[in-house]
Amino acid sequence: MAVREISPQKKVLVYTRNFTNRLIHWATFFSVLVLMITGYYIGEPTAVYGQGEAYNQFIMADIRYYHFLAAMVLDVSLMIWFYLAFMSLHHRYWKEMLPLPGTIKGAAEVAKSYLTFKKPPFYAHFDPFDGLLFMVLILFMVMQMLTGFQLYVQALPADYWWSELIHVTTDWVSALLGGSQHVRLVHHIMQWIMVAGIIIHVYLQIAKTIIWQDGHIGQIVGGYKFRDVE
Amino acid sequence: MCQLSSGFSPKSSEERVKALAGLDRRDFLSFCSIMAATLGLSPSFIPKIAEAVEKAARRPSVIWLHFAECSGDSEAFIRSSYPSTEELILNILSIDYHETIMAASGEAAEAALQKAMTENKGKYIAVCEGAIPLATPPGPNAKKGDYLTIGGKTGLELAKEVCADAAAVMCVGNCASFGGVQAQRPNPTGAVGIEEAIGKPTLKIPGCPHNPVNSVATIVNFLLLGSFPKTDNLGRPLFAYGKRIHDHCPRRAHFDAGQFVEEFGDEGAKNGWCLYKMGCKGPETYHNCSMVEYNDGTSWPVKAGHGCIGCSEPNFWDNMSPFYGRLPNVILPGVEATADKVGFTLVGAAAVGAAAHGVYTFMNRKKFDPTLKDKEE
Repeated sequence: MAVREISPQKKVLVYTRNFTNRLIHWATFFSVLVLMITGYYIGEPTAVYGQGEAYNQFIMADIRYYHFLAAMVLDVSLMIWFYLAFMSLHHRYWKEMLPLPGTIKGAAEVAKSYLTFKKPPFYAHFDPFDGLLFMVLILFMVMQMLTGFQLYVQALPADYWWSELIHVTTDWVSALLGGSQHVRLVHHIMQWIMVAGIIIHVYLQIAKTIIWQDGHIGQIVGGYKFRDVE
Repeated sequence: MCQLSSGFSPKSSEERVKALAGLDRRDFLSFCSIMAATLGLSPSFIPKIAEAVEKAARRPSVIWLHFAECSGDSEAFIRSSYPSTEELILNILSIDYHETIMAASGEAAEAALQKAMTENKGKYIAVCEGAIPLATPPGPNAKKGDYLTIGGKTGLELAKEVCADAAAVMCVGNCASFGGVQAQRPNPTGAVGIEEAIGKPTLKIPGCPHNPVNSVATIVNFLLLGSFPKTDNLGRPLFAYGKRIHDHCPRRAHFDAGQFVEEFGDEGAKNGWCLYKMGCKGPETYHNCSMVEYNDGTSWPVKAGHGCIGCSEPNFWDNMSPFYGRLPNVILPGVEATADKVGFTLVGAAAVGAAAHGVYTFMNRKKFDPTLKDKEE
C-alpha cells in the first residue's frame, strides 16, 4: 500500500470561524435535522404507530412538540445569524451573501474552479459561491419559518397575544399563497428543495477539502483552516 | 349539544299541524337553549333569548335568493327540526320570498319580492344562496352574467337590487360565500361569491350545505343584540367558525396517539381511528361540525367514517382536493404531480449532480493533487 506523501505546499492556520459562528451552524444543523425527520412524519405518518388504547400515548403529539421546539431553536438561531451578519465583531458577512456584481464575479470564478481545478483566491470566511448558496438556503429557511408559523397558529387558541402576534405578522403569507392548503404544500416542497440544497452544500465542502487540501470542512468544528503560503 | 333538546324524532303529520297552530313552550325553550349553546353564551342567556325572540316587535323579514347552486342549503334549512321548519318560517322569521318553498309563482312571486323590499326597506335580511356568474356567454345578444337569469334579470342585477336596501346580507353555503364548485378551475361562467359580485361586505355561513343551526343562531344573535356576531377575517361568525374541526374532533385522541386509518375498512377504521392519512381536512377547516353535527345532531362526515373535505373554506373544491390526500397536487405546465414526486426528483437531481462531479473530480485528480503531480514528473 502506497503511503500518501504530505503536500509540499507550505500552509499556515487561519482562524476563520469564531465560537458563535460555529454554534449557530450546529444549532441550525441539529434543528433542521429534527425538523426534517419530524416534519416527514407529520406530513405522512409512517413506521411508528400507537398500539392499543389511545389514552396514554402521544406519538403524533410528541413528534409535533419536537417539531415546534426545533423550529423555535432554528428561528432564534436565524435571528442571531441575521443580527451578526450586520453587527458581528468577528466578521460581518452580509455583503458576501448578496448578489452584488463583485460577488457574482467571484462566484463564477469559484464555480469555474470546480471544473478546471485552478485554485481560486483565499477567502477567510466563505467563498462567494457558497455565499450565494447560503443566501438561497437562508431564504428558504425564512420561507419555512413564515409558512410554518401560519400552520402552527391554526392549532393555537384565538384571542391570545401569541397567536395574535403570529396572525399580524404572517397572515399575508396565506393570502399570498391562496389558502392554508397551499401554505402546507409550499412548506412541504420547500423542504425537499432544501434537502437538495443541503446535499449540494455538504458535497461542496467535502470536495473542496479534498481538492485544495486546506482542511476547509474542519473550520466549522475547530474554527481554523489552512492558507497556502506564497 | 343538540342532545340538550328533547330528541330528534321526526314529527308526524299530526304533530306538524299542531306545531303550525302554536309552538309548545318546551320546544321553544329547547330551541333557545340550542341557540345559547351554539352562540357560546351561558345558560343565563336562555330566558333573554326567549324574550328577544318572543318580543321581537316584528319577526325579521327575510328575502331568500337563489343563484347558481343546487338548493342544498334550502334543503338543509327546511330539514332542521330544532328549530323546526314551521318555527323558522312561521314563528321566528318572516320569510317573505323564497323561490323554492313559496307557494306563489310567476308574477305573484315577483310582486311578493317587490312588496317585501318596499315594506321593509333597509330592515330586511337578504339571505343569498349560490354564486353569481359574471362571464358573458357566447352569442350575439348575450350580456354580462347571462349564464344565470331569473325573471328576466341576471343574477348580478337581482343581487345588487335586493342587497342594496338590505339591513344585512347573509350568504349561506359555500357557493354564496366563496363561489363554490362552479367558481373552481376552469370556472367557465366566471362565477364568484356574493361579496365579490356586489362589492359589499357580507356575513358568511359557508358549508356544503351550511348547518341551519348556525344561520338561525346568527339571526337570533341579531334579535338578541341588534347586531351580527363577531366574524373572522373571511366574514364567518366566530362562534361557529372560530375553531377547527380538528380541535374538537371525537377522533382527536387517535391523532395524538399516532393511530391512523390506512384504508377504508381496515382495523383502524373499525376502531374509529384518525382519518388524517385518508386526507381528512379537519386540521385546516374552521367549522363547528364536530360540536353541533348535522341534521339535529344525527351525524357528520368524520363520525360516519369519512374525512372532512373542508367545505367551509374558500375554494375548497380546488384547494382541498385531492379529498383523499393530504396535500394538493403540484400543477406545472402540462404535468400534475404529487409534491413528493417533485421533491424526490429535485433531491435525485442534486444527488446525481454531486455524484457526477465527484467522479469528474476523481478522474482529474492529477490536476490538483501535488503529490500525484510530483510523481508524474
